[in-house]
Amino acid sequence: MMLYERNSTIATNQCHTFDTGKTLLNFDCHSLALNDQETRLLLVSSHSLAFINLETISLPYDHSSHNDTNAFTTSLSDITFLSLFDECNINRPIVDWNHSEPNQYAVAIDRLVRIYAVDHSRVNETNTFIDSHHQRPISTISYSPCDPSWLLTGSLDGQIQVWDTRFHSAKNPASLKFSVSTPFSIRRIQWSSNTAENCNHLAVQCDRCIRVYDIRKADSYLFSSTDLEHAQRITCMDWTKQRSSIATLSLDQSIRIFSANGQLMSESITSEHSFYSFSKLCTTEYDNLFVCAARDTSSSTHGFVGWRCDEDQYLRPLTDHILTATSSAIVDFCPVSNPRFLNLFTNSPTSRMNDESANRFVLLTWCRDGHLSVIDMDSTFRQAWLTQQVRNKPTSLSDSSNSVGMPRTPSNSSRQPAMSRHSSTLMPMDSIKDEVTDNGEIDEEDDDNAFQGTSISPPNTMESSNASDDSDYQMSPDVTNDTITEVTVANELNSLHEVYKPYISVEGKDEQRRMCVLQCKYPLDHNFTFRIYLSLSRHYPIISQLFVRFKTPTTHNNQRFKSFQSRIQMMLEETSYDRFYSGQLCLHRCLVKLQSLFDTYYKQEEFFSTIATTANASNKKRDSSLTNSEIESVNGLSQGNASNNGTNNAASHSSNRLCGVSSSSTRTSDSQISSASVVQCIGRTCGAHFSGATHLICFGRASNNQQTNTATILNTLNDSTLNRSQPLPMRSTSLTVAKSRENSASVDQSNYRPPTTGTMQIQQAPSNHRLPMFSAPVRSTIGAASFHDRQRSLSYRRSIGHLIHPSSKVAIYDVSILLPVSRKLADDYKIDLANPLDMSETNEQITQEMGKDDLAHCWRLLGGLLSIQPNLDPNDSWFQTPIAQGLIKHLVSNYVINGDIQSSSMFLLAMSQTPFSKIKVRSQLVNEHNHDPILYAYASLLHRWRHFYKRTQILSQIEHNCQSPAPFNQLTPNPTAASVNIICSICLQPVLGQHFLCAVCGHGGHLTHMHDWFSSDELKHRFCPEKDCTCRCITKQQELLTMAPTQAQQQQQQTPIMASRSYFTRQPSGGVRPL
Amino acid sequence: MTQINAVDTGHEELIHDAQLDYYGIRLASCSSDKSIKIFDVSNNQQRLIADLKGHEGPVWQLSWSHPTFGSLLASCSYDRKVLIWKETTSSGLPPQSNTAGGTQYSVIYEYDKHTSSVNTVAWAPYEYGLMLACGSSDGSISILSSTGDGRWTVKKINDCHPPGVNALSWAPAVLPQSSDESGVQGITGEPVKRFVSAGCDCLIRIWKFREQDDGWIEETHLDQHNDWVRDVAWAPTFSFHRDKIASCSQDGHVYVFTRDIRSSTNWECTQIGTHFNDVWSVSWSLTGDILAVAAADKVSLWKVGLDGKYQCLTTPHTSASSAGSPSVSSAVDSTAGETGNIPLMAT
Repeated sequence: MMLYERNSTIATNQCHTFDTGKTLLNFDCHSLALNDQETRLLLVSSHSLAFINLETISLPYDHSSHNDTNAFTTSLSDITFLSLFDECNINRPIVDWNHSEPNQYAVAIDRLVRIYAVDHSRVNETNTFIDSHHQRPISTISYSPCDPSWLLTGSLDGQIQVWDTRFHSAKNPASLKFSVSTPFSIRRIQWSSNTAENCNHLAVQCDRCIRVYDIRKADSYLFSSTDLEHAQRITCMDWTKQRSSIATLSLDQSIRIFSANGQLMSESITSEHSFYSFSKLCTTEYDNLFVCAARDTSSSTHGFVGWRCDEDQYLRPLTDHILTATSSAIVDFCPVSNPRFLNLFTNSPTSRMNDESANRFVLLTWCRDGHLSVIDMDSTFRQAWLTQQVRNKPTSLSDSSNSVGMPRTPSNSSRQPAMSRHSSTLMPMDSIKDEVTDNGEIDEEDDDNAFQGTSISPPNTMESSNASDDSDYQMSPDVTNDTITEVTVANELNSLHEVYKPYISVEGKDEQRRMCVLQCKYPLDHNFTFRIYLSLSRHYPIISQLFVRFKTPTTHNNQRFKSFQSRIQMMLEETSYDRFYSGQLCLHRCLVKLQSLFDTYYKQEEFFSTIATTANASNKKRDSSLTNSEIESVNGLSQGNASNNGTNNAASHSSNRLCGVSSSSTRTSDSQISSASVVQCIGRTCGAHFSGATHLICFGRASNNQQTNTATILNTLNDSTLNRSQPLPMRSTSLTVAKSRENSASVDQSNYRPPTTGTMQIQQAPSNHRLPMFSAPVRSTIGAASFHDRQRSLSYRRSIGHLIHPSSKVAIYDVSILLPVSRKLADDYKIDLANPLDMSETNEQITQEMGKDDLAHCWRLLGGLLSIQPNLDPNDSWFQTPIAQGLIKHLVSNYVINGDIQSSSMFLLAMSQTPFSKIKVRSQLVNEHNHDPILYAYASLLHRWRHFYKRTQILSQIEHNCQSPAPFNQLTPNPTAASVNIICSICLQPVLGQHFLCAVCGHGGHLTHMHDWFSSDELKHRFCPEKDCTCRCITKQQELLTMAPTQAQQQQQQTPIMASRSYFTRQPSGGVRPL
Repeated sequence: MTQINAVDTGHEELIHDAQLDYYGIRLASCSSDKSIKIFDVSNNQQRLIADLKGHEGPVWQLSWSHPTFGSLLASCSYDRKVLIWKETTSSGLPPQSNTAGGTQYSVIYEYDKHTSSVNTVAWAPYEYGLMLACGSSDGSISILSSTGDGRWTVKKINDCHPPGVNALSWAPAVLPQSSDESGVQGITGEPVKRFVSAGCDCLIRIWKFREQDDGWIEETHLDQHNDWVRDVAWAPTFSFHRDKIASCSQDGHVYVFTRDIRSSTNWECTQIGTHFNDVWSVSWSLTGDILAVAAADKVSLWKVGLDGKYQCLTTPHTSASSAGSPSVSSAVDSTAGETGNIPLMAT
């Protein structure tokens, strides 16, 4: 992802747009969620989240180095789309970042909250689920700024629930600490941003008023603005940064400021600007300045409006027009203070103006047109504000005058200083400017010290080992580089050795281009070398990033090398990140790690090649197990480093460790087969097959995290999507109100009435362990009640089962409800080819009783058509008229398209004796067989359902009904069959009754089949029916044809069609008979 | 859709495959613990009727044959062998009447000509006779067919997917039909035997049997995937003209390829969903309209909607959450009704 500058028509419009290609083109984003450290961004849409790691995206450029930057865009995928845990819910997801842990966020959908963790650029689902007790969907969630484990959920039912997310597990859900009830619908909860005195205060946006609570005494509110409420619902509120006051924006377009004790401090003058509509309000660093996203209804342009709060209790717009106007609606915006964003505007050539560049108001904005932009508020805005400020300075409040000089300081003190490089937000703007130019190193160092002083425990053990590693590293005197604390490109490059033992050598360094070139030998093939280009970001070390590029000869592009390459990349990213994180030189460290990675890789490969004798033996398995063990050993390596204090010893030490590992596993793998135990956990880990007739089998486990060994279970299922283009609404058990998709913040509407009849709903057992349950629409006539009970007991049993042996479970689902065919109909349908009219009437009744109205209509229609038939000549072509023909064909094809072979074949059968399915050949109607595949498919389905008789009824209508391959009795020879052993050339079945054999070629078969074969006029029917037999069988043919057809009919012997006897085929080349 | 049974297989290691037989009464599962277990699951019971030990490595995949042949079970394993099991009864009674036990399975054929792990095994449509295809990590595919007298002939196709074959699936046995709309007696010739295979060369290859030279030739290949293709499934079809294949790959993509034989021989590709984590299997329902995709954390069902796009029928959930997950029941507005109940539309 790149940033590019948008040359707006308005000259003063400062805007950088993220070039997201087409990835976000149709992304229906409705809000932005930026974490407090401004490093991670989530775009929230109704159906998915898009995650952007702002630390890894490419940097702002200036034109001189454009190409350069372009070339080194990292291979990281910048935007990660995350699916929601409940995709089909129509409630909008609500997202909130944890204020203390920059890598954790929570998503709420309907009444569930799930917590996610970000690991660099990967987002992992955690196990934490909160199943809130709200009566209505959650409308807001909020992490407590003081305690990272506290999460508040607010719902439209008026409740605020406070959750403790610490000790949760699948069995032990997050505990509800307490809940607060209000008589209003809660839209938003916001904690006071001022940490100093009232960090425990939270404002709750309730309909037209706000309430402020102290979380310590939450049973009563501190104040409620009910007597000063807006005329309409509040759409937005925000705490001011320094004083504890709250700004509210209402649908009536008025803005009010309340003080912490509930007094109305100021109010906007709305009348004169009635042609503006405002959608979002944000406070700024200045307590008396507010920014609103606005829409000019007269010209329908969108932009921002600043409001200032004067001493006379009135809010006035800063300018009389919309600033930073764009043509597409502003969906959401948030102010950013990260210097990275500010640098966009201080560095880019067009804005290199010498004005008061300190006062930037940078907004990260999502517009309706699908662009994510960083917008700097217009200079007119700044100008207007500054003049305003100067005028007001003598009279304004003391801390606001303070904020002129040091605008960022107070605002950021309220936030937990980020433990990142960007903690330089603490510094005033000027110093950031300095940093950009020359002496950034010193600032960096300060930062590092500050970081180490805070000593916040790193998020995971891996980093903790690295951290201690680093500090040890620093103390060890023999390591040259770490005495230099200045982080510059030159120092980075100078820190490098010439050669890193066997595989890597530094080929070149270029300080101008901030890069170095490594020549590497592939450990497995010493003739093969490749190059790695490492380059540092342009503004290193202010904005630190390491770009990795591989240059390999194309000849060596196999899978194994690719995976190695990606591992190198991953390792380099992690290492450099850790080093940047602590503000130390990174290149040397990266290379040392790279060296040991090569070493490890080589040893691993050697190890594996010794145990796996077969060259290609299951590449997949080996490779991934390799990865596992290797990561392990890399971990081992870093720990080895930590204890060993020396880079030189580290490699050998780690290799010792490695040998230990490998020898232990070699012991277990003395034969080739038992080496399977090394790879055993690979292979297919999960699966779902449709199997049998209407069953779905699921098995397996989640392979990505070890703590979940449960079977892959289809949890919730939605059974009627086929007529919809939108994902179906999931109605919750007790609720019929859901937000509309378009406008979640404003309108609630009663949505999706429950069906009047027959939705079977299963309520959950009254416990905290809610079970996965399905509901299916079932017509009441089928006895839904009994089904209901059974279902409940089943699901209860299932819940117990879950706790016992999760990984060895195979779950069988009956998916018949999803399939267009119905077993029950197959049971009930009557097939009476002699009386099609009777058949259609009976079937109409059956479908009517099952509540399948459409099918009943079809049967009635067919019955109507068929009732014409008796009056007509049997060979009348009435059914071949376009009307009848078209009608039936349409009917059949419509059902076939939807996969309903049952209905369509039943219709075809009803019509089978009519001229519809016949075709006129030489003034005689013969059966047409266009639809045989459908009938045949249905016959096979009936076979699975063990409706053998009905199946034969259908097969009798198919031209070549002898589908079964020639059975041979092999294992349990049947003496009678074995003695005869004549195989019908047509149906390939053994002939048990009368047969007909050609005296010349010896082929033949069932008498009736032979009769049918030779009675046809076609050329091929003159020849022997046996495949590839050119015998003309002519004399026998004559003989046969003299026999009357009725005679042959009588002599027909029922062929055995399907019995699960042990038949084997004849020669595979023995022809397969067509349908 | 309801869960009707949850069989605790008691496998000690990861299960790699589970298959129901033709009638849906026997469940066979196989695992890394080298065993195959067969359960009787009729009437919602779950009775272990056989525990087959014959492989010396993890058993990757199973396949039941059509009951015409006596419900044979084929299994393939890391030990480079393919075993074909047959139910034998000690009492000599037919299997159906003997429910009291004594069910035994014995190996009636062992195929060990592959030089590496056999990853996939699949019986051909029964119209072709008793025919079995197996694909191995050595890159070759073997087609075994029974001669009827207990011997099997083997056709081995070498170097199908040089780095290894992961999956294969047979095309349904449908005849090529003269594409004449006017409805001249259309069935011409024999059904062309086809199957599709997927491998570590990131390709999906379609194989076709050519009668004249009595061998398998590659008809075409599809190169949509960027990583190893893990599973492939040919959909059952009822029309002569449409072929449909689903595939999933390690790159997280699931595609459905369709071809209308009448209009072109090119395969068109549609992507299902966006990205699946660790997707392992795809499977078509018997009616050919629903696709089940199994990924590491969820199983989802997909179906073509009226707009021609595939839509997810299920709400994917991770298995980890199953104990604490919500019961969400769907609302169906009254016009939709049961899925079988499609209102007539004018098209």
